[in-house]
Amino acid sequence: MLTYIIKRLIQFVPVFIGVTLILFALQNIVPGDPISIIGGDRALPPAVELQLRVNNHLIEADENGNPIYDENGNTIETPLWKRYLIYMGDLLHGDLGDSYTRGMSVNDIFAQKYPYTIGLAAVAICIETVLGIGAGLISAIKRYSFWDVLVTLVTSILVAIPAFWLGMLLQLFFGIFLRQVTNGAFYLPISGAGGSFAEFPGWVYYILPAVTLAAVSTAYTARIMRSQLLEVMNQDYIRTAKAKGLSRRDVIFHHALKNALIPVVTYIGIDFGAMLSGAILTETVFNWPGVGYEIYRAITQRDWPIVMGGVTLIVIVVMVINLIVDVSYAFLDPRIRFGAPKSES
Amino acid sequence: MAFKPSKGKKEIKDPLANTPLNNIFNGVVDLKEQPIPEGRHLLEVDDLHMFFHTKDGVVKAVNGVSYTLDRGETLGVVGESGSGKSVTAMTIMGLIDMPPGKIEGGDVLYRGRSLLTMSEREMQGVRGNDIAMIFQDPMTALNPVYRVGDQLGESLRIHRGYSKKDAVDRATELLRMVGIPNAEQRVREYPHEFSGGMRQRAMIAMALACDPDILIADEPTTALDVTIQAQIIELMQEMQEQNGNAIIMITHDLGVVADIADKIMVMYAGNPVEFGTADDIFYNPIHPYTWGLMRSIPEQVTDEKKPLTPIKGNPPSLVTLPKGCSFSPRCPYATDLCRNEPPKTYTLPDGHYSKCHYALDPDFVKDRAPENSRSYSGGAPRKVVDEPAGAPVASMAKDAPTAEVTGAAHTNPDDSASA
Repeated sequence: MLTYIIKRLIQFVPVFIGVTLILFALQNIVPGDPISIIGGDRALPPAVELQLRVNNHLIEADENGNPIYDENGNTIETPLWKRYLIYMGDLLHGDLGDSYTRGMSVNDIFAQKYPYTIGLAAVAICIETVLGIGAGLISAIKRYSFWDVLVTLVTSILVAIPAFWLGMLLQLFFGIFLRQVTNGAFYLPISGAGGSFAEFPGWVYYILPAVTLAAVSTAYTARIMRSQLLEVMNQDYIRTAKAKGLSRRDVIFHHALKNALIPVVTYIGIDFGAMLSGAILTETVFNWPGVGYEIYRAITQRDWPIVMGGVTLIVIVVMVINLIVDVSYAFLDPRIRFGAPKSES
Repeated sequence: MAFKPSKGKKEIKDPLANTPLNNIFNGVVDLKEQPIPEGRHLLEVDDLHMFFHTKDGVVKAVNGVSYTLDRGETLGVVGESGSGKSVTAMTIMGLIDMPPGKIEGGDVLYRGRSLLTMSEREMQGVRGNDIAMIFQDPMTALNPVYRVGDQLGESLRIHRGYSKKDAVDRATELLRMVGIPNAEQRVREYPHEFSGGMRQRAMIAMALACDPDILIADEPTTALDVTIQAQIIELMQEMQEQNGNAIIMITHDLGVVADIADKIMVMYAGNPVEFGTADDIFYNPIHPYTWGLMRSIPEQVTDEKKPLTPIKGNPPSLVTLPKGCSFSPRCPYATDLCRNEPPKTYTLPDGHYSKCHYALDPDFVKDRAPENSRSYSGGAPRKVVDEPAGAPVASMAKDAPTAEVTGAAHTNPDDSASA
């Protein structure tokens, strides 16, 4: 097991380099000069602009930070590979660089933003796990009953609703229509967009974004749970368990559930990784001060250090979550053995 | 039955429903301890009809099956796929989902008590405890996520109230009993670490854990290598000698039942078409379908390569059975009578019966029965290979009557093979 984990960690390296390399290359394809966008409508003073380019390694400079000019007196653009090496070098020191537009280090920005994304993802994954697995179980156990039809209907609808629209509807309904009833608890003039995090409110404000974020995944979880349990109930070993004289409850909750949960755990685990990478739509609709919304804004502003830093973080988080999911299989399914393959006796 | 939603609801609400104490002391009687009523058999299946009501029509899966079974006996149930062999067994075990299944008539009596009218709770006390079952594919019949020992001990825990540790200890003994080496270690392993033959051994150990009266084996050797097949059959016989349980051996392979069965029931399209002692079926078969089955067995010992004679055509749809005899469309000897009139059950004085209009016509049987009705000789040299057509039937009928008394059904098949 330990060797397997180490092997997987080593595999992270090429994946990580590949992803960041592609993203780094894409920056050059996207039109727009990030430095000249900073000033907005007004042009930056040439000296400031030059300094920004030097500081962000966009042009070649000597050791003292003075730009190097070619024979025609123009600045020399730093080649992509060199910028990538500088980026990776900084990264190894734990430095994600500085934002072009914010006047802050990317490290500080994500240190502020990530807790909100993690909090939102945690609440959403709890909703998904409890409601999804619960609804799927009821649906499968009481197959073709009223509850089964209800679950099937609701999940079909949820799968079809885009998250941003659901978010708006929830805001409208609970925040505006029911403003008096709920005493304004869901009326959300959230200030996260303005960058003031300290004022950000308590747990009540997690409810609507988390529900929005979890809606589609909960529906999928319920469906996977239902179909898996029904499939497992047709397996031979379930017949064996029944032939042993086990009660229906024991057959389902002891023999069937553990087998049926394997794909569900996979789905929820991968989904958790996706949620931790920031839910751009949900966070935008709710002005949620998380990484998804931050990356979205950074892209519109061509603030590449934030985009790179965000993706770097996300890649690491997703890879770690996937590793955890894979390792958790071994606890559910003894057939999965990591490390040296065991020959069938 | 097992999957009626209302049942499930009731049980989930009952927190004690499955604790061992509850099973032992509260209502569920161990039927094994009860005497068999006078004039009754251990298991009596009486004119059992079990139909599936599907949207394509009524599937007559079991259409009038009757037999009796006593302790120590082995019943072989032979037939093609879809002939209702397994469904009969599953009905006895109460493992058919109702609906779509529905008992349309007949009864199953175990020690004089009807299994069909028992509540689901009572049936849970019977399954695994009084009547146990092993299945065709040992590769899929064990739960992959639990240790073999835990699965073996499970029935001991629910039926006998064993503690977890005692159950595993007993499971180790059982594994050793069925000939699995290194049982102390094996008991902690998972099914995927077992080979196919070992898994079937473990299945047998699991089925025999509670010392059941009846072991139903549903094609227990079909998924195994030929060399392993013989071992498994041998093991089942050995266990039967030790425990005295009855065996219902369901198979499509006449060779398998030739080895161990005392009685054989040949099924076709949900119907028992012929029933008799193993000697009756192998030496003196009187139903054309049984003849067809024998002709389609490859001969193992002869040097000359003879073509097999398959039964032409396919079994009929169980939804729309032929008007007359269900075998008539495929029967080479069918007459208008066969095609229009379903045959009655014709019983010989010794209890050997056949559902064929011509079963009692000695000339019909004599002219048409296979050259050698003894198609399988359990590895011993064949004795009747060179005899002329029809002769074996006639000669055996002359020689055999001593063995054809119903009471003699307990005779060891080895004896009758060497007789």
